[in-house]
Amino acid sequence: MMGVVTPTGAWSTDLTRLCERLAERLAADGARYPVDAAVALAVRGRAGVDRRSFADDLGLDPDELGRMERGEVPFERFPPAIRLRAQAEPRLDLGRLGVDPNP
Amino acid sequence: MSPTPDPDRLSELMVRMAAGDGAAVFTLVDEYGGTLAGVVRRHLVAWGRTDLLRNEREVDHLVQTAALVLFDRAAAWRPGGAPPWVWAAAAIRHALAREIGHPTVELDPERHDRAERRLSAAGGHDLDLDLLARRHPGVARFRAVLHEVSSARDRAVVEAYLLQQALGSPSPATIVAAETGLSPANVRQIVCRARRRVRQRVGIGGGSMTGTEGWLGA
Repeated sequence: MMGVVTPTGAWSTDLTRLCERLAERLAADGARYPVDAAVALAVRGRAGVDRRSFADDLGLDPDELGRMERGEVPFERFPPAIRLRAQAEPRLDLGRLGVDPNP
Repeated sequence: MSPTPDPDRLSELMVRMAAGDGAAVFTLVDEYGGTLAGVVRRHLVAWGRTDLLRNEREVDHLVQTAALVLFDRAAAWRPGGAPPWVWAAAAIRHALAREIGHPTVELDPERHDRAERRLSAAGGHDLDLDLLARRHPGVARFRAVLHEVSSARDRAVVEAYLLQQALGSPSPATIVAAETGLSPANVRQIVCRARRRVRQRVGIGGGSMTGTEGWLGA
């Protein structure tokens, strides 16, 4: 279900659509992998934390995470921790985004 | 009703968006989407587009549109003032109208371009009290006095109320109440109290508030 307030008061949006809209902007800015970058941003956005905290939590290099979020890294080269979170997000349809969840 | 916005959390997200952090847009929609949906629904009702109100997918799309407007304008927002969706009310209204193809006024392209250039030169604001205060000493004086006589929360409520009034909202108190988590009666009480204190401070009746100042303090 999308576009509704959940019992916890949060808004349940169509994450895939928001990814597409952010990807259009990233593409316009010249990102090489705009959709992949939008997925990385969605995963961190769902966690609700800044890049450094998220990288610390997952044991990642914040600079490398930054490269993913700027569209410099394709999804298949994302660390498993991010790929798995993306795949586990029920409101994120990787197939609709043209991202291969099992490279 | 949406939960009362946590000003610290909201400021953090706006600061991150101002720095170009696209992840914060997802978080903003997650945490404040209900409030943005209230803004969207009020516009749809005002425009008579109740057909769209029943379409969850359409409302969600417009909520995302409002969030993207805030993303684009986050750098100009200042913590401690009106909530972002009140501060950027005109820009959000414009973006929503564009998305649903709502005819607002007859568009004169040349006039529109001139207005856009003026807004852009002024920092991209639609209706911004900072900008007004720089241009109109009366507004600056009113804000300075308001700062002396009221708390940060009350100032934000009063400024949001005045912005809604200036935007022609038929019920500023109701809109500000929905966006701040207060009741409309509470909003009116805060505005009345602040106006009374401003009048007392500047000695209205002695004719010291004129022009814009008088309008704001009336």
